[in-house]
This record gives sequence, structure tokens and C-alpha cells, in this order.
Amino acid sequence: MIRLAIVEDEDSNAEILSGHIQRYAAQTGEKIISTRFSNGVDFISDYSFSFDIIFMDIKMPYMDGMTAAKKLREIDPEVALIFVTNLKQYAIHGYEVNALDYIVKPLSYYDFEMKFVKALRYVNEHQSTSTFIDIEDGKKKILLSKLYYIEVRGRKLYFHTEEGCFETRGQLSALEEQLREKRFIRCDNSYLINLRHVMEIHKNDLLVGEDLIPVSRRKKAEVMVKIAEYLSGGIS
Amino acid sequence: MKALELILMFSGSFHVQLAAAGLLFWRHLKLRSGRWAALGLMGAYCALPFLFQLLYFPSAQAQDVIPGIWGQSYYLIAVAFGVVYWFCFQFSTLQEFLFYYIPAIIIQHSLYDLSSIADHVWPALPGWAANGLHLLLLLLLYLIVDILFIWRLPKGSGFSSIQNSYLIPFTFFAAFLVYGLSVWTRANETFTYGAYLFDLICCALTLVVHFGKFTQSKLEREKELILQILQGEQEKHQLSTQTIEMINRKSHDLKYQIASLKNMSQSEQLSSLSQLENAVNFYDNTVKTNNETLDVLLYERSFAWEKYHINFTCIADGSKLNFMMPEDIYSLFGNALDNAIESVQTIDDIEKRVVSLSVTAKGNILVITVSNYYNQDLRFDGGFPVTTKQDKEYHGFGIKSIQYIAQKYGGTISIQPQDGIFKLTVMFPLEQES
Repeated sequence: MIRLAIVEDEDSNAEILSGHIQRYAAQTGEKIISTRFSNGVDFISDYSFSFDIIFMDIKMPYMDGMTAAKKLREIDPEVALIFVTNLKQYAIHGYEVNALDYIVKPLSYYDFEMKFVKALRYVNEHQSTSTFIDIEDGKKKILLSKLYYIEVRGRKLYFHTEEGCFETRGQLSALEEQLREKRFIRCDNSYLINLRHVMEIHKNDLLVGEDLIPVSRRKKAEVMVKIAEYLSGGIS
Repeated sequence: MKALELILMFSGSFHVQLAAAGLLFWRHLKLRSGRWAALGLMGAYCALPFLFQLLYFPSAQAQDVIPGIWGQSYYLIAVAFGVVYWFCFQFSTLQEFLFYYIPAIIIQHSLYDLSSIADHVWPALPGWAANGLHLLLLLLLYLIVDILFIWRLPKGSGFSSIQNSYLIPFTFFAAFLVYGLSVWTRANETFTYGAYLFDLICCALTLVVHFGKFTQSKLEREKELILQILQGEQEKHQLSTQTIEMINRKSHDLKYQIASLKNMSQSEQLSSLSQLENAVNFYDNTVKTNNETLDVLLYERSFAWEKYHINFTCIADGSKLNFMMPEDIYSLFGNALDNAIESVQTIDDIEKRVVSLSVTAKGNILVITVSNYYNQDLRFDGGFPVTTKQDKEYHGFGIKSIQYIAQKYGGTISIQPQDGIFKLTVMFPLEQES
């Protein structure tokens, strides 16, 4: 189920957008719930992380879209954001607020669909799935979105996460299958990395999270393409 | 007479002919830094056998001794020449050295075949005349080889390194075999024209293979085409910068016009205003991405969006493109957008003509993505779509051009046709600030 917010002061535009959303939902069977806000202030003041995708107009009273977006990013740096506007001059700098894309008026269905599909994929990537691993004193829940990479040394696996490093026993290949869909790839015999946390690319290694992880020569080309594919879906 | 005889004998000696063959590549070789030392070495190599003979066998006839001792050890001389060649010129790799050394051996050997055949056609010639004939053959043959193979050879060590790595060992082995066989037949069999002609043909074929006469042309042609396209784009780029400058000047003028409006009568204002409106609408098409080249390119393409009713949206952090040369920015985005335009312009449903461009960065990674709908059955060849346009050879270069630029800056390309939407992504690592 996808939860949307439409932040738009003009009723006519909001209606057109809703129409497109319903059409998409009908065509694909996706369950979508949308909430309307008439201006940026209302939207920000009650923000509670309850949305997956936000459609934001730029030209609005009280608080314009760009400002609202900046305030949004202070609270929530990751939620998918799509502008709805004719002000291309502003929208082009959407990267400043991590906007995925924008739709121009008149809001044609296909313009909407292309960007909406991109947002849906982005949401999918950022689902908070988790897995459990056995550690010394029991089980530990690992949020995949916070997992940088898994390292194998001998018969032990090390899960490097935002919250620290956790040691467990197991085989990397078994995990690889499970995690492949979740955007994890094997860049080297000893490392399974989370594409989401690739921060820098260097000649022979990658900065994943806070550590430099080597990339085997054999796999380099394949890894680069996978990173490119991943990043083409939007940068978080 | 004696001097002439000496000169002819000199030129007819195996080791000198070999040196001459090696020097046919003079346009492609660089002398070692100790220029005079190199020349001295070459001179010594040529002269030494004769000095040797003069010192130790002053009374004997030259043509008896030279061919006798020195002349029999062909391999030794070839090696000696190799050593001299190596020390006289600069070769960056062994492969490069062999690339010039092996054909030198083969060319001299061809001369030997021709000379032997000539000697049997006219067996009665006196020594000096035979040498004279050999000299003539040398000049003729070396000239022909030069025209056919050498003078059009690209300069620089880069050329020899693009050859297939199996090439050098192959021609080395071939030369070795032909040589060995030739020495053996001369020692063990009576002369036959056939054997020497076959030998000559073998040499010619080996040279053809070695210089890749047939394979290089296609690659060269492709390269020429890409360079031509790049150049054409550079010229367009210059024109466009001029256009942008003109527009900037115009908008500057507009500012003053607007200011002076305040002092006009109402009717004057009305007509001035409508003029202004038109001018400003035109300017509104330009977008500012913080990268001038990209701005120019996007401005140019704005005519295509209008013409084909394409809905184009763009989020671009142009400042991240400064590591790229303007021609490359122009070419990369130009080709990527042209591909998108080509794809959407034939879609019947105008609403579906949507093209989206994104230029964003994360960490030190720059990501450029162009997305658009497509309705043709794209065929893929090696990961890249084969153009459906008739002029395949020319248009397929759009993608190849992008590939070339990606490679140039250490970038990666990803193409994802998914559910009717085509996504081209080019990713570059940015320079790290240390």
C-alpha cells in the first residue's frame, strides 16, 4: 500500500493529479491512499512520516514549495519527493532538496506515470525490511537499510551497520541469494555490499558507509553497472 | 674501379641490407638521446666486418672473405643487428621493438630471394655487376615496400600496441620458419625458381598480416567517423555559444527598455510592452544549470521539444560537470538527448512524448540519466540498441560516441529498457578533494 501527500493550492490541479493516481491504481491494482494539503505550512506543521511519496507544487501561498521542501528535508531526508510545477527555472535545482523529478502543467497522464513509476521503485528500494542474525547473546534485528556491508573472515560473518558491527556464523552465499533483490551485491569474495551505501568510487575500491571496500578486478565492470542502475532510480 | 667495387660490395652485404631495411621506418622511430653515439654505433656495425677483413686478411679479395666467415652466420648477424637497432632507437616496449624489427628481417630476406633469382637468370655477370644489380633490386624493392606498407603507417607507439597480442609472436614464428627453411634449402637442395618464389610470396604474406592491411581499415574508418562527428558538434557548439551571448545581450537591453517604460505615454507603453512580451517569452526557454555548455545544449534542444511537442523535464546540478571538457559535455548530452528525441518523436500519442533528464551527484559519484518512452522494437547488440534508422552506420555512432566519452573519464554506462520506458544512465567518479 502506498501513501501519498498532495501539496497543492489549486483545486483543479489537485483533481487532475488525483485522477491520474486513480487511473494508475486501477490499471495496476496497486492500493494507493492520498491526502491533500492546500499549502506548505499545513503540510509541514503536522508531518509525521506517514507518507511514501509527496507531490509538491512550487508556487503556493504562505510558503512556496521549495522552502517547504527544504524544511521537509530537515525532518525527513529520504521520503520520495516530486514537484508539480511550471516553474522550470526553480525545479531544475530540485537536486538541492533531493527531488526525484517534477511534472509540468498541464499534467498529462504519461508525464505523471513515468515519474510516479520512478517514485514507486524508489519507495520499494527503501522499504524497511529486516533480517535476524544469531549473535553471542541471542538474536539481533538488522534493518537492511542501515546495513552497510557484510564481511566474511574464516567461518564468521561480520555485519557492518550504522549501529556498529555484529559477528555471527554462517555462509555468505546463502545470504547473497536472499539479499540480491534488496540491492546487495558481491563485489569481492569476502564482501557483500549494500548499493544504497556506496558513497564514493575509487580506482580499485568503494567507500561503503565509512569503510573502503576492495572490488575484485573480475567483478569490477559488473559492479559499476549495478551501481549505475541503482543510482539511476534516484539518489537518497 | 676499386672504390666502386667496394661501395657495391658494401651495399650488397647482408648486414648492410638488413640495416637499410630497419631504417625504412625512419619516420616512425625516435633516435636515442645520445644521437651521435647512436649513429656511431650504426656506422660501426656496418663498417666493422670490412675493417675486420682489411686488418686480418688484407691480401685476400673482399668478396671471398666476407661471404665466407661473416656471411654464413646469418642468425648471428640478425641478432647483432637487433642489438644495434635496440640501442640506436627508442622503443617503449619489447612488442614495439619487434613490431619494426621483424619486418626489417623479412624485407631483407625478400631482397635476398630476388637477388638469388636474378643471379640465376644472369649467372655470367662479374662480381661488381652482380652487386650493382643487387643494389638496383634493393632500391626498387624497398621503395615498393615503403609505398605499400610503410609510409601510411600511423606514427607513434600507440599503433603497434593496438595490434592483437598474438600478432607479434605469430609473425616472429613465421619469419623464423621461413628463414630457417630458406637456409636449409640453400644448403641442401639445388636451386629451383619455385622454392625462391614461394619464399618471396611467404615474405609478402607475412608482411601483409603483420601490418594488418585488412583489419585496420575498418577500425580506422570508424574512428574517423567518430572524430568527424565530434568535430561537427564542436562547430555547432561554437555557434550556439554565440547565440546565447546574443540573447544575454538582448535581455540586458530589455532591462533598460523596461526601466524607460515608466517615462512613456500609455499608447507608447502598450506597444513597447507587447514587444517586450515577445522577447521575454523567447528567452524563457533557456534554463540555467550552472554549467554553460549544458545550458547551451539544452537551449538548442528546446527547439526540438517545441517541434515534436515533447514534454521535457530536467533536474541538473551542472556544477558537477566541470571536470568534463565542453566538447565532451556537448557530445554526451547531445547524443543522449537526440536518442531520446528520436525514440519519442514517432510515438503517436503526443502525451507520451515525455523525456526526463537528471544530473545529480552522491558522494563522489555523478549520475546522468535520460528516461523516455519508446514504442519501437529496440533490438540490442552488445548491450546497445541497434538504431532502426536506415543510415545505421552513421546513427549507431550516437551511442558509440557516448561510450567513448564514458571510457575517457572512467565512467560506466547502464541501459535499462523497462516496461516501455527506456533509461540510459552514465555514471562517473568525480575527482576526490584531498
